[in-house]
Amino acid sequence: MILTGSRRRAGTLVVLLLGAGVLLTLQLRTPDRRALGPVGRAVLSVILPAQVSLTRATDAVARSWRALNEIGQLRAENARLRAEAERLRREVAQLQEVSAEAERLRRLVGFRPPPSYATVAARVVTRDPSRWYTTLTVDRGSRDGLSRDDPVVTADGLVGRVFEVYPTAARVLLVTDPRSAVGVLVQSTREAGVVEGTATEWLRLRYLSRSAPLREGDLLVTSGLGGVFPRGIRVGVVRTVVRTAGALFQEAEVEPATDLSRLEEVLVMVRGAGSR
Amino acid sequence: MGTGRLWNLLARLLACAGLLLLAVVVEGAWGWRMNFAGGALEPVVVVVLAVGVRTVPELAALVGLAAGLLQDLAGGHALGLAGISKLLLGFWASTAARTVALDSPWASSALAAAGTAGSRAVEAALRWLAGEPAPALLPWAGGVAVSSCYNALVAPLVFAGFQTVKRWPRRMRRAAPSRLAS
Repeated sequence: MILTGSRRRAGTLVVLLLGAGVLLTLQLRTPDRRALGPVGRAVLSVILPAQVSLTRATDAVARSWRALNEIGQLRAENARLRAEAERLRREVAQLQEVSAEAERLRRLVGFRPPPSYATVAARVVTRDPSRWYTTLTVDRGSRDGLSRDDPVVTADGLVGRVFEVYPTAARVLLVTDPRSAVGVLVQSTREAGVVEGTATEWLRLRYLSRSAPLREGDLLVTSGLGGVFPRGIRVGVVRTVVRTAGALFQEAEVEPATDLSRLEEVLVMVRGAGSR
Repeated sequence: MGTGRLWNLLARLLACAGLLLLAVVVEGAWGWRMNFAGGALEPVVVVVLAVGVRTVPELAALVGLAAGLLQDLAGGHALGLAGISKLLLGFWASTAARTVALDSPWASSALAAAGTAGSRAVEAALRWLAGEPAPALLPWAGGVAVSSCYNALVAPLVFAGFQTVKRWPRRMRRAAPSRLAS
């Protein structure tokens, strides 16, 4: 029997539909509404790995694409964060500076001068790098009441004395300058001597009686003799005692009480009453 | 049937099977990534339509059934839900291509959009018959519309590509004697 084209098509369609319908009905009658035979499992074993691989490949491409797109954003964000970090660093540095200055000033304010002296706070404005331990300049002068030989101190101890005075500035001769000589007492024994500058960070104690007891760590204070420095200002601490055979006096290397390499603010002790 | 024709038919069936597998794999791996408002590109539908447009209805129905079964397999559904809908889709596409001229890309797009919507409707009806809960109408319709648009966009390209691939053997056969002659 020869079927016409349209009948054959309709027949094929019906057969296929019936087959699919039977398959679907059988599937729906199972508890899971899905039952795979060995053929289904075999096909799935091809499809699923391929889908997984394709998904992974797609993910990798998508990640790369996102990374490429993010480069521009990251650059902009990086620049913004760098600027922010720079600004914060500057702020931190400023705050640290302010904090350190406040601490120094607090210590200066805590310094109590002898009754006959007033104190004038001054800021160190210049120092000669080639002669670091000899002189410095402060921003107060004769207009502020400063005069020659006024003692200059910090809360830690003696710095030096004023030796040149200008209306708005003054030069200070540091105790470490070789031209400087300060009469001192060993605080514990009250033995007298003279501390001279060496143009280095150290001082030298001289003219101390050979028989006077002197130990490392002894504190030296101004003796008040000579009329320049008031009595009792800390000058330094004995680090090394030098006794030379046959010499009349003993000597010692002294570490200044004030760290002269880091001076930023000082107090000038002016003869008179009150602080300025 | 001669050996040559048998090999030719076998090669076509293998090519169809490979294409369908590829479409199912791509749809499973990529289709959901392009999901928008509940709809996504459905390469399987487009491939079934392309096969249907270029072949006889019987073969198109068979290919549609195979494609639907593969989808059911990969999607974890009961075998036959997508199978029947794609079977009808293939048959309909082939029949439509014999009655309507599909020369312009617009016609291909319209066929794809209509085929997508019809296939989804049949599938929804089958699901309802199978006792599965019916989806809310508006979101479902939105998803169908989006899928139809996606498929309509790519259908002209796929149809043209399918036609080009189908013509290769003929071109090669035509070119072979001339090369021998030279």
